Amino acid sequence: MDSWLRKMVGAAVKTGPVPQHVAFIMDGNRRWARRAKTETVAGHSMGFSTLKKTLEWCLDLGVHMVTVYAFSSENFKRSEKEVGDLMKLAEEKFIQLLNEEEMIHRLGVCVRVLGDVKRLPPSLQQAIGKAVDISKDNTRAILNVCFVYTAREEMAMAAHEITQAVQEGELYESDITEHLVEQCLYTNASPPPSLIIRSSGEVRLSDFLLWQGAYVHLAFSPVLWPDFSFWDLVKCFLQYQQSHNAITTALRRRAEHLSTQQLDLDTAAVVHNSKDGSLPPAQVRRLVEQRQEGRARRVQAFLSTLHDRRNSFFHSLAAKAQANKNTRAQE
Amino acid sequence: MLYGMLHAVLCFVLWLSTTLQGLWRSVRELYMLPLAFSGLSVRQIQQRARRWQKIPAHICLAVTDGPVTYEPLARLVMWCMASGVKHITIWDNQGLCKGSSSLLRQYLQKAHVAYFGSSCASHPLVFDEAILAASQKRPCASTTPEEEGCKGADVQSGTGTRIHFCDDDEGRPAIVKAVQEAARLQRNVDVAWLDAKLTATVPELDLVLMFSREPVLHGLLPWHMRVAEILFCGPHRHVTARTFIRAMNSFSRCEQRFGR
Repeated sequence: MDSWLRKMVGAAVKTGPVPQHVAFIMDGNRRWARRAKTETVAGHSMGFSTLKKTLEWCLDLGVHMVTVYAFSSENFKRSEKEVGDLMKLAEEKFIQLLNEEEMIHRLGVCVRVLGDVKRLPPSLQQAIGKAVDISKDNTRAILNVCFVYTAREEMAMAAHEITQAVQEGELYESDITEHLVEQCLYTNASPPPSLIIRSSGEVRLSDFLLWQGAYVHLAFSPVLWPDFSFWDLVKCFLQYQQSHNAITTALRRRAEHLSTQQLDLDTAAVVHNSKDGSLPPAQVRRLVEQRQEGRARRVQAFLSTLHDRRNSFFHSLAAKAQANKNTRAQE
Repeated sequence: MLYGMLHAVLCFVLWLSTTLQGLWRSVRELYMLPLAFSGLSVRQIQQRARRWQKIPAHICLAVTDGPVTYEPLARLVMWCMASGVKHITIWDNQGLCKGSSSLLRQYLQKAHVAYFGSSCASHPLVFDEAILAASQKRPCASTTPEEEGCKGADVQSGTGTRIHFCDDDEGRPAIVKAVQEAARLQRNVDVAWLDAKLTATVPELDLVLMFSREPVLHGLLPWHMRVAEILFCGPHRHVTARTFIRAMNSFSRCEQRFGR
């Protein structure tokens, strides 16, 4: 009866606009554990079960991209025991995922881990590397797991990549635009989310997707994450549908504004660079087009290098994991 | 067709539950009902502020619901000042507040005198130097000697509540500009460097009162929003003392863990 009702409601929700990409701040595991008078790690474990169910509901509702805030860089400030338990739990879940490789490919799931993975224990790094590497070519459902992540670190990382590229001559200073910064963020392979859901009644972003969250519907759900249900998700989706038009209009206006602003900047630069400053309009247009084409080429080449570098990082972790496995097998 | 009807029913149920929740909240906070129809004096706010466990150091009043009406904003600013808030950012996504900051400044100065009276010198209102410099270039209507007196005290003392006028330029474009500067200076960028650049004039936010039709940030200061409490307060034209007190109560109760 329940599943029949869910199917009906799911189909009804899908008659309205469904967000392409949804992000979750899974807050409230520890409070849930305290309330249930159990260990903190049990709360996190329960939170993982809710995540699994939520991903299934998202797929049923037609969402194929999900980003979750699993571990913030700030969480290292927690007690050593809790951080250790979280690391163990994460490793266990990534290994479980790797054991279901056939299912990953059958469902077409691509797992990406966003954050400063190098700060994690080597065994967890290798499990992550393998999971990311084996699923990288799947496209049907994308799961971004933010691990050792803060949005400020993400923006600083993008800024670092860009300034390095300018220093090495791959990019020009005038190539630095909002579009370029956005394309250098960890989330560059997916469009920005349309809906961010935070559980547990807290009403802040806590350093999560600050850049990408600029034009997003924010849904603050009062329930603790382990208690988050299908009906809570449906409620957030219905709320999002009421904002959909406003978000679409705001994004379109923003894109138009940026494009006009860039055109003005390029035109001004072309006129400024000309010797006498009195070029005929047709020539200005042609030079502006050349300038924009040159930028597009440089940015494309740079982004492709960045993408390859990130992929090869995870590939090398996966290779290390395989080498360790082989060594253990020989022993 | 059937699913379309079911969708309409679900939307109606959502609307009904939101309305009932709002009503239930009003019933629970019946003692605040008079505040929905009246203002608050500086003294009344100060009495309430003693009960708050914490007060935000920096409040952002963000307006995205169409043309800005200055009078309610000036009222809100005065309530924030009376609570002891050190920084107030007035932000709107169309740049209207920043664009006509000299007019808004006059509204604020008038409200300052009206609310604080003779004690306005001890609660100075300080405008961002950048805004003052920009407004000096534009002709602006003359102020009364009393207002001039208050303003003089503000600028000289350098303390009190600082008012910042911001728009979209302080959001993503400011981050892009910082990256361009780093590229020009050929220096390595990290969080600390970017933070120093971006929060040099406008510090990090603690509380955002978002006046919008929908719960969307519309590009509001992404760098500064890191741990800010975000409260969506409906249209700014209808803001009442109850909205403000609710927001301050909510901030006072919230537990900020900063990752711990």
